[in-house]
Amino acid sequence: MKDIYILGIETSCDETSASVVKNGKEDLGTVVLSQMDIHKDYGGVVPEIASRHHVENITLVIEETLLKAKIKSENVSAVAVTYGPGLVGSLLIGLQAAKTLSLVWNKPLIAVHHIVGHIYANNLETELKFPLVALVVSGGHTDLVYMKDYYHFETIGSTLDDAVGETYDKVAKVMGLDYPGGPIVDSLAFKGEDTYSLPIPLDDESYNFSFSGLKSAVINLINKEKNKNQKIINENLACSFQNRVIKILTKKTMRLLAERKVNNLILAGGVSANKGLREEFIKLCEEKNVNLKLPLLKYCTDNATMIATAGYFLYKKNKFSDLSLNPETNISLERSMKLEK
Amino acid sequence: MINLLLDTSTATFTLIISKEDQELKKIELNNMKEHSKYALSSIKEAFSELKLDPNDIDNIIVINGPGSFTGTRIGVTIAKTYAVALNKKIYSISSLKANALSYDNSDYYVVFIDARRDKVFGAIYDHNYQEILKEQYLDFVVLLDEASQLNGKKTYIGDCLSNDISIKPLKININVINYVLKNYKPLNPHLVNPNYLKLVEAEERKNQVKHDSKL
Repeated sequence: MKDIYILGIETSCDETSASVVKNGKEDLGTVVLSQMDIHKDYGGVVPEIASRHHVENITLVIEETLLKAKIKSENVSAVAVTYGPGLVGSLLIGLQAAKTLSLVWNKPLIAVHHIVGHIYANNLETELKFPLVALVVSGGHTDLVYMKDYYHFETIGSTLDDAVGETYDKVAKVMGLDYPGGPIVDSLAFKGEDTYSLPIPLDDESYNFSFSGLKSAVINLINKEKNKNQKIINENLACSFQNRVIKILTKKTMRLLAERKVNNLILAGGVSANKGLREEFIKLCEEKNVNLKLPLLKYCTDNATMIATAGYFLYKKNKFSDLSLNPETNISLERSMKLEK
Repeated sequence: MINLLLDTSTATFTLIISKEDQELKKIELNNMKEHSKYALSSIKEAFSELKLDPNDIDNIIVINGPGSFTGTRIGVTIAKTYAVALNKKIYSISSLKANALSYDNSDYYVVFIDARRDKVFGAIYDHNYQEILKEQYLDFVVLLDEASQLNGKKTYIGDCLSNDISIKPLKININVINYVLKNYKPLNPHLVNPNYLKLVEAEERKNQVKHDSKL
């Protein structure tokens, strides 16, 4: 069988990335240029600044990736690109670059949903087994997704307000920690104890999540302690907060696995790098005999390797886009599946 | 030599393909809100009509602003990716100068692109298309005041309205390609970037805070 080489491009937020993946599982070369240090000064991603950096870096990132992967343009089978969800100005840069390469190299163009990319990051080491449940946790998403087969998505539950990664960053901010605060809260949590009383958010029968109440509870707690002139112990607050988040994520995920009699679980998205979350899922899945797949840490945050990987499966199905492909900033998994049909 | 010019810096999308100094094809789409959707499809359409292969293009000329930030980025990204992918020569030129070059028979060209809130991106060029008022982000009335002090025939080109002067529309023609190839040197494609003439508002606020704290 002929080998398939997909060039992936990802610019949905503040990472400019390109990657060449062979046969949907072998990363031949990836470049990720993060703008994190630039946006740090503003306490979050400034969309116009992100777009400006993408346009400056995009061709360097692509050229470097091709060199790293030791591949010539004529051997690229297709160009895959993130078309949503994400920041429109950022998505536009990757899209123009991918569409241009598709035209001038005369290669098929493949539109990849960003979350599908995160899910398929788990296909890089060993192939996915179905049916599976995917818990997608990132700065923009908190979704429980059921997949009965390759490229078949059913969103069972989602966050009703803030995404889990967003909650981490906001809580870190009120605790006076640096941006992005998620990883800092995670490491502080391991040094503290669960001493603060905080609610388990949306602890109900649904598969939805809600984190804004927990965030408010943390803010109220900090203000209350301040008024009493009590010093907040950041390690303990981080531990208490993280325990509530992990509790609800694991509880609903494990319940869904049991209800659907599914034996395969994957984590995806930036927050799947969270050590506390990984450890708790490893423990629970061992107890319940569930096959757990965690993405390698380098594929948790935004990268083009996952886009090229997901693109491979669309390539096999001949799902190609034309040059009028435009960003879809809020597209759901289900809608993307319909568009790809 | 076959040349491709792209302009997505304003609400009009312009694509020109020329051979030596002859225009082979021009596509002009007005009131465009979606340069992203039509830019590459238009290039493809022009190539297939002229039976050109992307490799037949020798020079790429991109108008790199000022103008719409998002719009300009679309043309610039396409042009630099094209140049890197097929190792083509690339040139960039200011949108204000390119619009001046598309008119003739005047002592002065006063060019402006709407930047909202009574501001414009503006510049003034003489009969040789040399910049005599540097391109900048300024009040429209200030630009008109600068222009009123010049004696001679003035051509006003832009997308703002004024009751006092007659204004010609923004347009790009083949003169731009011919001028660029004669006077400009090709650039490193990785370094071709939009010329915004304006910081991002968040950067302006940050600089303001730094400035205030120094006072």
